[in-house]
Amino acid sequence: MTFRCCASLVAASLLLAGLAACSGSAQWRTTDITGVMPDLAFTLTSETGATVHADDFRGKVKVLFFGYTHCPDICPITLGHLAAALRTMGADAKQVRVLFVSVDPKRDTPALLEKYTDAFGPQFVGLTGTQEQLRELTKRYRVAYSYGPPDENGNYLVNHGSAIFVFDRQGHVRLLMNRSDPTKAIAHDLELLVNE
Amino acid sequence: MPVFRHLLFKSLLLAGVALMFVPAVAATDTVPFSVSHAWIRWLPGNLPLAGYATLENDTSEARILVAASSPAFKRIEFHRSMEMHGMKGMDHMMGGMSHMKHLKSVTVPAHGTFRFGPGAYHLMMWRSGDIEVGDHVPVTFRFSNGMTMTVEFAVRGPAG
Repeated sequence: MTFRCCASLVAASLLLAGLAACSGSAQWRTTDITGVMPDLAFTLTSETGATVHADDFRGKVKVLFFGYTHCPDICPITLGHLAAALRTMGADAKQVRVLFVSVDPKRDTPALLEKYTDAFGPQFVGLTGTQEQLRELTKRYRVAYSYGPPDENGNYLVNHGSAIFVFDRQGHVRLLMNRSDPTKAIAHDLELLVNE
Repeated sequence: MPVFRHLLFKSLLLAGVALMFVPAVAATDTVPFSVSHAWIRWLPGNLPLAGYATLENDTSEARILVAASSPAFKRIEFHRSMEMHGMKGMDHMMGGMSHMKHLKSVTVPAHGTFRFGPGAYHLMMWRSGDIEVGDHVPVTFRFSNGMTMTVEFAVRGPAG
């Protein structure tokens, strides 16, 4: 019940900055979106090629980000930023999984995703899926993606939503982050979720 | 192998410098055109890499960068990452949208600076062979006035 109360008071608490809407509410440094979006749910393909579900990550704090590996700028900046935050968290970092969902399954094979995410740390997991599976997940979190036309070499750019969603151990949506949030703020909020 | 490659690149770099026909980067006190903070973000596999550098133009004419090449890359393009917010029809979306644009050239203004930097303009580099973190690779910039200059880029890890 307290949980619901918080959700409905998000707007009010924004207006009354500094006034705690619910007793005992956490002092988040990124954006609290508790109750604003549905719980984490998906069926995708893992780095090993196996089918994987959101429930497989139950018990971990999940950080969800969409991208593609042929993205040499924004995606590694974002993942590197998250890696820097995790490095400051000590043992708590082991309770976090960063789910990097590639919206470019044509080029991003499970093997390539594994190599790519391993470059950022053991908590980074690469996932992808069929267009149908990806559309379902991106619609669920109101994230868009689209493909540019191929150039003379057959390469194409992918436009993708840049929001970072954070889910608690139970899979409830909790925070919205972006890569301009300081690593300290990201680490602070992830630690709170790990220790809830 | 990395040592060999390093030496190879070093020698290519020296050759590049020797071939330069504009004395712009000669070791004088006043450098009218210079490139600094040149580095490449390494990624695994054969993925394209992003390169960054700051180009400073202390001449009275704008310099238009039209091409970049390197023995370590089969193709180098100029790209710009952009973040779009509040676009028409995107009101329903959470957060922004990351978008990349391919550019034919970039302009370094007269008495000005142009920065290839993370999250903005970058070199999109399609590699031709193995590159490792710690390597130094030469990249030759070609400008519309015929000027060329070769700069050594340091290869850093994925997180920069």
